[in-house]
Amino acid sequence: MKIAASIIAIALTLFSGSLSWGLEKRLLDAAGVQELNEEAPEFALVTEAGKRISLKDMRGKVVLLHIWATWCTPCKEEFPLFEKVYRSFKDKALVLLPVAIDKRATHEELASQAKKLGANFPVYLASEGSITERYWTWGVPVTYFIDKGGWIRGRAIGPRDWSSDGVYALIKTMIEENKTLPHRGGG
Amino acid sequence: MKKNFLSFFLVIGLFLSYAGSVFACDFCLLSQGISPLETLNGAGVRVNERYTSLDKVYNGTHKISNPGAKEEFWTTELTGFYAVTEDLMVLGVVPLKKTRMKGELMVNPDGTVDLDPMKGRESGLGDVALIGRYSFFKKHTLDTTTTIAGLLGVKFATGKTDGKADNGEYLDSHIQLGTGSTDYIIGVSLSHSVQKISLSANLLGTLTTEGEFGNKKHRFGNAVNYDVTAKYRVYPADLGSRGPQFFIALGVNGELREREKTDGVKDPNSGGNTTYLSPGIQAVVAPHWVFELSYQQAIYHNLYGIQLGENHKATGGVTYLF
Repeated sequence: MKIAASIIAIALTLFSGSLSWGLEKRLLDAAGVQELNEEAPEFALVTEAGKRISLKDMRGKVVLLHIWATWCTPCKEEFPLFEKVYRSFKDKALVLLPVAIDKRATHEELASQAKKLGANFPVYLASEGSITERYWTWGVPVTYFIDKGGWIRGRAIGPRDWSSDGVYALIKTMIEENKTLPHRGGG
Repeated sequence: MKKNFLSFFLVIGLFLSYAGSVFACDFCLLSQGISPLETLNGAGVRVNERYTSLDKVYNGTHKISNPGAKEEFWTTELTGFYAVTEDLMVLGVVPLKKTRMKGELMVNPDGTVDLDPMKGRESGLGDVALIGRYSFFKKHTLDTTTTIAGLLGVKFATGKTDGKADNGEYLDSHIQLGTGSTDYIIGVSLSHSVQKISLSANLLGTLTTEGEFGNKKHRFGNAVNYDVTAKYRVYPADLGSRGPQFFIALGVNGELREREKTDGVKDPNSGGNTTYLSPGIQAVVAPHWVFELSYQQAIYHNLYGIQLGENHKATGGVTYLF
C-alpha cells in the first residue's frame, strides 16, 4: 500500500498545480515556437556588398534570425515560405537574417543557391561574421524571434510552415508590441 | 512553480528512500537506460528487442545457492507515438513475448530451497498498453532545455494467462504472457539538456488490480520503476556539420515491487527491489532514424523472502520518426 499511496501522491503533485499561460504563450504555441526570454548574444554579419551589420543596429525592429545550412534539405524547403514572410513584412519593421553555418561555402555560392531556392532576401555566412555557435546548439534549422529590444522571445527548432496563420500572428504581434523586455545594459 | 518543484523532489525522495523490493517484471517501459519516452514531438514507431535472464537465487540481499532454476524472457516491443499537440503525446505499446522456464524454486518453511524440475515455455501477445504524456513544464534558454512531463496510462489484460508446463500444471504467473489484470500507469519524467549533455529522470508507477492466471485469482504487487540517465554527445563536437550524431549514456535504474497475492494470500517470496547500472549507446541519423543499444547489469538486489532475481537485460531498439 505504501507504493500505491506514493503513486497517488505523485498524481496529486503533478496535476494540482494549475498553470496559466499568457496571450504570448498561446501565440507562440500556435506558431510552433518555444518560449525563450533571454537577451540575444550580440552578433555581426557581413552583407554581400561587404558591409558589416550587427544586431545592435537593428534595435527597434523585430529580427527573425534563421540558422540554416546548404546541406540541410529541410532548410532549403523552407526558403519559398520565408520569401512569403519577407514580402509580407519587409516594409513593416521586420528584418529577416538567414545565416548559413557552412564552413566551406563562399558568399557568392550562398547567394546563388538562395536565388535558385526562390529567395529575394539577403543571406549571410556565419563564418564571415562573428556569431556564437550557441545559436545552433540544437542543430539546424533553428529560428529565433528577437524583439525590438534585442531579447529572444521565441525559438523554433526544426522546419516550420512559415506561411501559417500562427507564424504571421506572432510576427504581427511582435511588430505592434510597444512593450519589450528590459533593454540591454549598453543600449 | 517553486512549490511544485519542491513537491516533485519530495516525492522522488520518498520513493528512493524505500527499503525493499522485486520480481521478474518484464513490463518496464522506462527503466531501459535510454528512455524511449524522450521524444517530444512528431510521430514515430519504435521496435525494440529485450532479453532478460534470471538464474541466481537471492534471500533478501544475499545470493544463495541455486538448485538449477532459470527463467528467460525475450520481448519484442512495438511502440507507436504521436504528438497530438506540442505538449501532449499518446503512445501505444504492443509487446510480443517469448518466455521460458526451467525448474521452479520451492521454498521450504525452514528456508531451504528445492527444485521442481518442471519446464515450460510460452510465446505470443503480451499486455498492450496505452499511455498519454503531457509536458506541463518547459523552460528553454539558448543552451539549455528543461521539460517535466506527467504520464497516465492503462495496461490491458490482452496476454494469455493459462499457459501450462510440461507436467500439465499451470505455469507460474511470471512465465505467463500477460498479468491477467487491467493495470493503471502513472509517472513523471524530467529531462534537462545542456548543450552536449542531457540528464533524464523517470518514475513510473503501476497500480495493479486483481486478475487471473490458470484457475487462480492473482494480483501482482504495485510497482515503481525508476531511472536516472546521463547522455553525452560524443560526435559531432558541434552541430554545424552534416552527418549522424552519436551519444553514450550511463544510467541507474530499477524496479521496486510490493508482494503479490494469489487467491488473496500474500506470497512472502515475491516483491522487492532490483537496481541496475545501464550503459548505452545511441545513434541519431536525422531526420528519421534513431538506433539504440543498452545493457542493464543488476548491481543490487533486496528481494523479499527467497526468489530468483534478475541478473541482466540487454535491449536493442530502432525508432523511425515520420
